[in-house]
Amino acid sequence: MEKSKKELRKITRRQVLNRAKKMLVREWGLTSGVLVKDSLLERAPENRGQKEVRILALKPRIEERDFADLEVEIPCEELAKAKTVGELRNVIWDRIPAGCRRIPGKTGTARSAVGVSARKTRLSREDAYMRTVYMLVRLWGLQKIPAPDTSLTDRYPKGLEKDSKDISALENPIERKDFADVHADVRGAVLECAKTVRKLDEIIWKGIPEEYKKPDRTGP
Amino acid sequence: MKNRNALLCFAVFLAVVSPLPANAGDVLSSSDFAGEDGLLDRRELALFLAYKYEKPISECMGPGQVAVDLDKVEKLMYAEIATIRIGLKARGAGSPPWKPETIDSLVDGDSRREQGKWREIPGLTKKKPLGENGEGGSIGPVRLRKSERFLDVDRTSAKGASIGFSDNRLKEGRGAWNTEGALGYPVQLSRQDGGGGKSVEFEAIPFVSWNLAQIEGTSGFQINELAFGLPFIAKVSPGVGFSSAKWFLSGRPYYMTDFDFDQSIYGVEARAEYVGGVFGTALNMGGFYPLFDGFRYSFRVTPAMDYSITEKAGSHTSRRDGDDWLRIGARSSLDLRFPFMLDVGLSYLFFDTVSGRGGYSDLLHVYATWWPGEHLGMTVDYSKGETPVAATEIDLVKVGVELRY
Repeated sequence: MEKSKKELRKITRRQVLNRAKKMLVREWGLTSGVLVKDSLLERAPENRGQKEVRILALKPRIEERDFADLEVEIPCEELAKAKTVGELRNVIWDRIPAGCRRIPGKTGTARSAVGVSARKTRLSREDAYMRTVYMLVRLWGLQKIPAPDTSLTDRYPKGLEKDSKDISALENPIERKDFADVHADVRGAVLECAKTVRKLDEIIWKGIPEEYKKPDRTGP
Repeated sequence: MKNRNALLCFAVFLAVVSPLPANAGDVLSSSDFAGEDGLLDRRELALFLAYKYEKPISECMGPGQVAVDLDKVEKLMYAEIATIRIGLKARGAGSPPWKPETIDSLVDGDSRREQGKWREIPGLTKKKPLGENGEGGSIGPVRLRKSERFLDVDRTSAKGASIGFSDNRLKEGRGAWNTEGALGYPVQLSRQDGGGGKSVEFEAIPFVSWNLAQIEGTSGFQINELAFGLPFIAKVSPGVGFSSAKWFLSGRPYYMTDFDFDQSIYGVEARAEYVGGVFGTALNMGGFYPLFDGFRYSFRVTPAMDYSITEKAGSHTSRRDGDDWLRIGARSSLDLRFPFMLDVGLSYLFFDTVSGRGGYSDLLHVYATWWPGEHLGMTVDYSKGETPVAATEIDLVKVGVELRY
């Protein structure tokens, strides 16, 4: 689910640097700490002679572990530009959503401080699925989170025992509330073809314009 | 670490291609997929879920590749990962890495169901989408229900066609049969203009329905109705409010006769049904909603207007030659669903005549059905009042089996 503005964690440049240093020590098995001016190429352990590979290998760690709470995404070409620990910090800082940056001495977020325009919502495949599930739980009063292959129509507890009218009626909340910010456009007749939670999510995903989808990290 | 991942990938691959069920004896647990730190990150979780749910990770290997692409495994398992993440968030453990025991407590049994081949015939036993991704609508499948009013709802919410037999040994005769049902074939056409929740779609369900009942000790069928109709249903999404709301408006031209074609009644009925939350309350109208654990309710109210003309009266109707009527009324129903496959419910239908003959008529219906199978149920029901079109008086208890598809 997209976090509301109040729920967003905020972080300073200093904290980004500290997190990056910890990550490097852990990932590269360094026996001593790193300094902001240290060269990444010098400190990176060898990987069959290619130290650059060790730098690029930081990408999933940054995105999924050390900065996962900030929903950071860093293209490999950006990461490859970082030559020092400080530059790595800058690359990460630049990719942190404006609403999550805290600038000491200023009230509010960096967005308000520097006049950055509001970000367009971009959903990942997983975020969209989570939204779908939250919507079903809210509208249908579900008592537990359904598994992806749970049938929408089968009898409880095997399924959610909804009929095609209930599924068709999801069109309104999808377009007006739960996926309104990503301008989802779905049809009741197509929604009715969904037999499982996963299939329903796939139909909603197809109804979201490409510009509101996060690019596929796995590439073509 | 890389070798470990490669081994796990190989284990998952073997589990998927192996003829033995992967969870026979629970060969691997989530802790086997954990990294050197004893915790699971996203990729390790994805691999574990692929193993657990027997997903074909061969899809995650490109042509000529021998290693599984972990990014692709993650992509393949996005829905399962998201489901786990929802549970983790609720426990305040949102960010990776995660403890194996936390993951184990969140991994549910696989709820996939086996489908028989016969259920997969498009247009006959399975809905056949029209146009790209079903955007043009759909046709089928064939529907067998108790009456035409159940033809536009899904099988699990509908009552099935019934057939029953009773034999009163104190009376002479060979027992009494009764059967009631409707057979329909939905054709749905979709057209959407605008957006923002506003849309209109159309569905037509040509049907044939019947209602036959004998009384022991008398000859012939006391209730003998055969009807043909072509309901047109408009599904209107209003595009206002945030509720899951939709209106289903239908017009149903019909022709009713008996099995000897001795009587003819023509008519058209208009109906409206609202599906969604009732504003300001916790009440929902439409399919089944939870009441409390294991118990569900379905509440429907359908205002209706009916105009019909009797071209030829017969012995199975109380109507006379040439009479016509315009009536308004409504049907309301409350169904309760119990955990052990038992449904009980009641419905009340009334019509009051605005013009023509007929006066006030109503029909009370109470039933209990036990569904030992998805398509087969044992039912007891009681009807008292007048049938809506032929206006035949009934006070009838039926015991029999129900079939629905």
